[in-house]
Amino acid sequence: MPDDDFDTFFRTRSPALLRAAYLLTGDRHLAEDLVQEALARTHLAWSRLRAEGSPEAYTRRIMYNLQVSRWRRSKFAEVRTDRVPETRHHQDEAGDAVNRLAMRRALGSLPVRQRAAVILRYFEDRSEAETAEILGCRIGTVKSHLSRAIARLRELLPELSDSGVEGASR
Amino acid sequence: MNDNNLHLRLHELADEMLDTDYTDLRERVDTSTRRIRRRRAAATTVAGITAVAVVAVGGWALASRTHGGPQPATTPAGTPAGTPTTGPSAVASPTAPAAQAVPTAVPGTLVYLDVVAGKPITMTTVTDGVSRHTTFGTAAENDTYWFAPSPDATRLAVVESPNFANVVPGDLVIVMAGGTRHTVARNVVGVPLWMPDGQHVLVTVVGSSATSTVVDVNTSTTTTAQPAVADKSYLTWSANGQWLAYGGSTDVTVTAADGTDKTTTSVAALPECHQRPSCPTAVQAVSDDGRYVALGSRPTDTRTAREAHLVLDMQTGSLVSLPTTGPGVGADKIWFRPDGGMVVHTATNDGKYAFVLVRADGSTLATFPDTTEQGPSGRHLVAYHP
Repeated sequence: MPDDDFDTFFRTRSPALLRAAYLLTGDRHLAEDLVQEALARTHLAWSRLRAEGSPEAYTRRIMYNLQVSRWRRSKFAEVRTDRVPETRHHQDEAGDAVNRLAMRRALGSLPVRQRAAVILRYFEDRSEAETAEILGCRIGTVKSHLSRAIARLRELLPELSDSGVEGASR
Repeated sequence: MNDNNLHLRLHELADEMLDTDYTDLRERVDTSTRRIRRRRAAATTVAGITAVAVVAVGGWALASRTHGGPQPATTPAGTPAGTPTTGPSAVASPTAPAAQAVPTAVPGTLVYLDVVAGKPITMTTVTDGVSRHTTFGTAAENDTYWFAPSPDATRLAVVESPNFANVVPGDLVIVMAGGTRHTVARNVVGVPLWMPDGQHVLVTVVGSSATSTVVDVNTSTTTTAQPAVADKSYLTWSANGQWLAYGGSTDVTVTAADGTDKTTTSVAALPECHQRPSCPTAVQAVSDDGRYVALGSRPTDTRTAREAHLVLDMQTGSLVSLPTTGPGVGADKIWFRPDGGMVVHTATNDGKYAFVLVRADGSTLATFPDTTEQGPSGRHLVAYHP
């Protein structure tokens, strides 16, 4: 049954979609809204997507494109800052929390397309070609987004400088 | 853990997203699916109707304030408010839908706010019966005044005044989900009013004189409000953004959104205008065709209506009969539906509240208990979006 299939898809893929959406939006409520909308559109197109065998790619494409268009409509939602908390290197809960906060703010300071490219490339481990396909742009544009984004992240999070986040192209 | 690894740092951050209520999310996905499906169906229907109309009138049509569809039953405007002399018409007009499906919950989105100093500011939205809660940080002492939720219910606007009661100017602040606050204008008095685009807020800025000002909440830029909306009391737009309405001391005015096509109707004959210091000219809602307005008592702040208990037909000057849930109780909030019907929030005899869905012909489609409202000092209904 198609709806059973969609239920299975929802159960198995929602957690991963929510994690990516959280990185994209920086807010758990907005992340849930984003995934909700993307999954609803997926549900509506389910018969076709199931036949084509690519529902998750479609959902992710919808999710990233929705976030870009929402950002265009409401740039205010982007809380940009040049100040990120000083990161801590010793391993305790407070240190982890500070590091996550610093990462969230640094990620939030990126323009939405750069942020999307970073998440697809370094969180989802997509190739540059896959990233370009999802974002609907050329590979060269993805490279440009990544280059600027990494430079910005290094500026805000100096400890990333030797993280090996550049160069690897697939 | 290697702190110097972007991949790991991203995964650590994403781990914050672990405690989602998936049952709730699944319901919300289904609700969104139905909403999108309805919109697509409506768009198809409108396109079809438009095509037929174009053929019927030879390629042109005139916009008319008077809708040709079913209209609520009315009584003369001199009727005591809140006590309609005739009930809703039991006979549907010839153009009423033959069999309107009865929904299982109030269609659209109801917005409730819970603001208590020292506790989380909580917005509860109920969309097609599905609830979700969003917090906007902790309420400060000055936050006990009126918050205005944005049309998409993702932000709140509030004027943080050092002394709101004495109309001391304060900052216009936009509060994001999670509690981040952004000051977008200073020297503001009164309650902020969101404009239909959800990107601008209308306020009064105090300088050498008080000026109606439109603030772009994205850029904090301000512009003087257009005459159509400047210095208007109890101003509100129709849900489709095509009409606006505002109240005077004893009359109500409806215009097209650009200020043209103006109609002013007096309510001075209402007994309330004789028995109380002021007439019920605070406009809570105006219908999508600009014909009907929901009116309530005039609060001290002239920016926004807090309640509505009667509906005025601007075309005939008559009151529209409203449903009642029992003797001595009546409507306290009224909004209009795109289908010509209404959502009436009304008290019930057991001290609680209910929603009555009213068809375009004035008959009752369905009644639902309001299980979210928590009384005057707790969570309260502040907005409805069809």
